[in-house]
Amino acid sequence: MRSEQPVREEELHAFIDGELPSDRIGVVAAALEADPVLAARVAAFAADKAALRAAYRGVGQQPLPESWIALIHGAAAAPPVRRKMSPRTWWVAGLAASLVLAVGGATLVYQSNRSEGSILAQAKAARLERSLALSRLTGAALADAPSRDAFLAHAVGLQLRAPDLAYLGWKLVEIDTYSNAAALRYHAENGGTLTMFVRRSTGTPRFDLLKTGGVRVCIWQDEVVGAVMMGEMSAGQMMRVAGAAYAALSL
Amino acid sequence: MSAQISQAFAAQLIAHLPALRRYAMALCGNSSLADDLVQDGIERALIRAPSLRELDRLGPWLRSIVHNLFVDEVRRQRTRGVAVDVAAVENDLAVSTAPADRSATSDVARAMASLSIEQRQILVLAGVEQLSYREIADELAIPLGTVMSRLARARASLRAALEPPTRELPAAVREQGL
Repeated sequence: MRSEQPVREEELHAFIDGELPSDRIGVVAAALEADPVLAARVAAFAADKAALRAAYRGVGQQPLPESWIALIHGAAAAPPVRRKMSPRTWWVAGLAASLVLAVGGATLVYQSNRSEGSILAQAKAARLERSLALSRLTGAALADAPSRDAFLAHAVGLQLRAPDLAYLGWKLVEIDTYSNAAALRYHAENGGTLTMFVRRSTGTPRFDLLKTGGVRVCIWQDEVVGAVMMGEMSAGQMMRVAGAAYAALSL
Repeated sequence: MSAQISQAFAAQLIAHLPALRRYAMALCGNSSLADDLVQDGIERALIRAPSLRELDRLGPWLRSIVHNLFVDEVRRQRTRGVAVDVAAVENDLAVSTAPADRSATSDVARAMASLSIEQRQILVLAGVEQLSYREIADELAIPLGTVMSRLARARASLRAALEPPTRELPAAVREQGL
């Protein structure tokens, strides 16, 4: 008859952490069942672990000092690239016209030499007015990564890929295209929506983290691509998801 | 002087900063020192960026930088020790904690301050950053068995710090339920 090895102290913690080999889980569980004092100790260790995580979780959600971001962007900034761009009416002309019609105002036309803030206006419009999209990729068509990346790249006119943020809890549900731009929409299990608006850069690197109307906004632009991430979340969450999305965007 | 870094590196570095700050805070128990460590860590990371071969290893790499900076700081201040203002730490943590959890947060901050750096480090990696034992072993360059024994000792120390032993009641009192 094979006698079971006694439960070691390290195994109690591996049990808490989900690191116990499968052939020892039953042994530890049985030991806990048979010994209320041991079970209470393990429960206390598990509670301490949870308390530790809860105590420091908030630190990671505090706004970051701008000096840190500036330091990093300063090191990342390449020499200014002067791109000769032909005057071009942007897709937002139609978009803005539609919006303005809705409020009975005048027509707005965005030119390529538009103000710095216009990428945010475009991103907001794309988030709120889904009917303005020229085309949409959704459902099963999103499953094939090369196809959706090609769809995105064709829409924006840059070699891009649609960031897979599923490991952060955000599932890509659709890609809307506009003239030389696209908006990616992600859903979370709790019903939250993250949008990522992408277009060519105006050439000026920038990084802004702001909040408007309860929606956290991250504007991130290098010399090639500009992106605006929007969602109802904390600054820390936005930093995490925006960093991952921006890093995954470029091929 | 920092090296020219790629946009991808910059983006990933910024994305790691919240977790790095949390790690530094839990490690040193002093919010202003934690921010100094992260600031110095960023500068060092920018200088050494070309030596990082895999961007996937950025998190462990940054933590090792901050850890080494902290150990250096402790050595420098060996004679007087690194000041741990527990009240300030409690206050800093409480700002970002739900009111109902603030008492527990204060207890944890005090308990962590009483542990060794090595113990705090492994508790944070396993409990806050939620790394697997294998990831911790790789990051600290120690065997898996050492991770397990070190974590068990650290958790026992934390438990002891959170719950000081109660005095044994006389048998007669216990029996009377007093």
